[in-house]
Amino acid sequence: MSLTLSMPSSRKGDGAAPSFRRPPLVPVLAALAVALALAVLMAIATGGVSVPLDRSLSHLASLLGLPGTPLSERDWMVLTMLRLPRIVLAAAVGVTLGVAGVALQAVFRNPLADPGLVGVSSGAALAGSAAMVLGVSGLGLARSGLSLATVLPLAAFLGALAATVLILAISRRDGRNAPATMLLAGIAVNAMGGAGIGLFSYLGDDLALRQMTFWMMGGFGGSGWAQIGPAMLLMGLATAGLLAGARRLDLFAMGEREAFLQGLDPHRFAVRTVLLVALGVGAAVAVSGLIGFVGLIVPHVMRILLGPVHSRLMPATALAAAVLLVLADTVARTIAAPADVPAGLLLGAVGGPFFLWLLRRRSGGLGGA
Amino acid sequence: MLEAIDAGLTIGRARLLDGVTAAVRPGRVLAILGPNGAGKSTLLSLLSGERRPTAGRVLLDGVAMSAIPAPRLAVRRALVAQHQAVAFAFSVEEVMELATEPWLIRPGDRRALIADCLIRAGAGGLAGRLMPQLSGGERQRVAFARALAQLAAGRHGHDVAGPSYLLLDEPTASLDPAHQHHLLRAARDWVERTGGGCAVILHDLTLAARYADDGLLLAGGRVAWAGSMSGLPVPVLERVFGTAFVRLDLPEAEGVVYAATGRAAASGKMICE
Amino acid sequence: MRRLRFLPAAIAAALALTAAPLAGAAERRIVTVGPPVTELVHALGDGGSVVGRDTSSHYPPPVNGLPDVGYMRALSAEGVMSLAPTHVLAIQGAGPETTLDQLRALGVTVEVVPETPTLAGLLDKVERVARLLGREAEGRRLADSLNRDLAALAAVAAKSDATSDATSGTKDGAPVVLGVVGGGPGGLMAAGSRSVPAALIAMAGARNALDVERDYVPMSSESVLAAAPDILLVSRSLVDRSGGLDQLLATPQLALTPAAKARRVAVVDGALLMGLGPRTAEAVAELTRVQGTSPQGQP
Repeated sequence: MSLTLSMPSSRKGDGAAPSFRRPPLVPVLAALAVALALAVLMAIATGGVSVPLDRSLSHLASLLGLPGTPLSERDWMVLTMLRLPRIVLAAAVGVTLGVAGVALQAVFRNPLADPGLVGVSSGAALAGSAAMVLGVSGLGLARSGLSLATVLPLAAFLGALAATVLILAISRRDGRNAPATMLLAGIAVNAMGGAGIGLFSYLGDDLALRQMTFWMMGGFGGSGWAQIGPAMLLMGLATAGLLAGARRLDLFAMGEREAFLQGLDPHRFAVRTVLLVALGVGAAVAVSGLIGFVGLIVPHVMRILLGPVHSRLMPATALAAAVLLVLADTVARTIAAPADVPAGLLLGAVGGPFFLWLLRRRSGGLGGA
Repeated sequence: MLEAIDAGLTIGRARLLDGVTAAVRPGRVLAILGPNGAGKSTLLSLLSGERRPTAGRVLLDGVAMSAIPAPRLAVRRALVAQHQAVAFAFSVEEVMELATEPWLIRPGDRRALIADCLIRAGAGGLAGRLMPQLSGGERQRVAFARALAQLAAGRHGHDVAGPSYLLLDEPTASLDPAHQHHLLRAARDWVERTGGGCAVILHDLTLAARYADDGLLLAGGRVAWAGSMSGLPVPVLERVFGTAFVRLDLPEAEGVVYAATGRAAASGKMICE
Repeated sequence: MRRLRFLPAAIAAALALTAAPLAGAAERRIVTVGPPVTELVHALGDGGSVVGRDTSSHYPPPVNGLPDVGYMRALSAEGVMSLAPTHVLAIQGAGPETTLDQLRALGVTVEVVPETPTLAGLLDKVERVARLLGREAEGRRLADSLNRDLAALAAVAAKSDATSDATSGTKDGAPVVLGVVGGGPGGLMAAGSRSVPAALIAMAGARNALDVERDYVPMSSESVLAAAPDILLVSRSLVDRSGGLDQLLATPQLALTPAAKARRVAVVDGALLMGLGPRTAEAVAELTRVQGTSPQGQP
């Protein structure tokens, strides 16, 4: 080894490119948290029934023993029974869909992956349609004393889980679930789900059909604390589980092979992630119907802003998606008041064009984003 | 020792490897040679534990690779793949941090470790760049640095029984000649510094002769020749590759140069000067 | 924040003036959901108390000036509350159930009126709404007039059947009516025997072309032809969406039917096909009128 080689230090590109720095995480999170707080305050202050913010704050002050005037009982009930559950649910669904979107995009190593890929949406939609068309008695629950309002979210949640488990079972080969096979199985199961929904729309009467249509548009109306409680618990569990996997998602995002070489059992981790996503998104779909684009757009924008490292990306996405859905629901409640516009519809109408604009602006930047 | 014993891999009807016995020994560099499709990368994937042999065994210090959980394997061996997939825009630092992250290292030590590995891999100037913006050769250097960091971080402040193994799949494929030598010298240096073993797939026999102690020549999924690199017989090369070779011994112990002449390998004649 | 608060500006402003505590409110404020209920409340003389209606309620015309609380199955509790109602009167199927429960919890009287597409069902509906409004006398008067009108129409229909029997020689006399609610590729959506159009057809003394125990059923072009309807019953909105009666009758699914050839089509307000109400006799009258026209087609 006596040959003298010139150590290649500064060659093409090396050091010439401006050194690249990610924006610091803490200020971004702080800004998003402030935005969420403002969005929630605005949502609390906005609605069909006029309850000005200063009066709400004055009420809060009086509750804390400070000088302030309490709200009228009706305003208080409107605020706590009608408005707050919606705001809280919108925020929670935002957090869940955002984090689930990020996680799936890492597992499938595709920035365009969304929970629909693992069957959650079609499974929930199929079971939900079945519940709406067959009704409580058609499902053999006539004597259970349950109402459709209870059965529908339960059916949607179980449908979401069942579709995902089916996809995992189909794509299992030699005790392993390769993401690529999962993707194909997901497409097949989604197609079957679509056919099933078609069957139920054929069987359904006029009212059931319209109910199905509205439910699938997605929104946060008609939710009280009793309806959203169990869903919030499941969404919380799933989100916590996904956040705990942030580092492993980084490894996975580098490739299944890299992940294994750096100490991760990739197939087990993929199954775990997909199940957590099904749990969280299934619960979200159960109480709010199908809300699209959030799990796609928000992670995309946050990835451009903060980079793909999941310990940074996931909390920021969670906050930003919560802000987005709280705002969307506020608009949904007020734009056609006293009627309610499905928030999912609004998001689709705004989200679709925005996403296209993003794609065009960063032409070719999809894979790198 | 990391070894394959009579290992075979059959997928469907394709027999990719058949009865291959090979050993990566601590303190030595093994060059894995052979024509395209000979099973070199397949052998490396068996040695890394990514795939399980359908026949024979692959053992790390006498324990079957398949019995060792992935996190423990990650401390004992690292592999630099031929191609680096990039689905997301990780920066070079992020890739390096990720490789060192699972192990408890103080932030200062980690930064020093990352910088050291990047410099050793000839990628010191790439810090602050995004992976998708790098050329193939630059990515290869970062991947090599990452492998060094992975093994170093795993041992940082921990007692790890047994040496580590560095598996390199055509690490020089996209590199210019200067970087090829730099990288292989770094691998050699790592072997001498840590006492670990290294297996490297190479097409350049000159580089193999210069940096490897042992050689393993594969052909059609079988071992065509194995032994000390200094004894690599040209007629075997010519038979396996189907082309004529010349071997030049350089003066002043600068090693040897192998070159394929492109002529049909009929004569098998050897030119020594 | 400001802009959003001004989105429902008109309503919010109105609300600020009118919002009154629910308890002890002397004034009755009713939100009606479903065209039959909206029409009944007005027919019973309580239209002045109606402060909101659902998207489908367009009759009587003044209700179009009232706030629209959205589609009957997707009501928003706060949206309804913003009208400070004392009562929500809704047709069966309105919801979601959680919204109705929330309204009840907020002290609003929520009544859901069953929808049964029969004459008895209609009379029951009238009686219930009248009782809820405390207008039993008006209710009885409305029921009597409905009974009287429908009986008169039945008599006319029976007479015209007899005539058409003589001219066309149909077997059991009653003409066959097909209720069409929408078109589709290769077929159309037709009214089954459990639908409102079927009830109207029965009241007009005619026979429903589609004897299926469902509300609306997709029907292939061939089954439409096989059913050989003498008369079509359609909503005005379907005619408008089709680009006019000529275009509707020219669609391949309908063009070959006796009804299309003779242009015997009863066109009624869509709301009349959605539920039985005070205007049901109008729809039956239109059907009866068409039955009186010549099956041989008009010149």
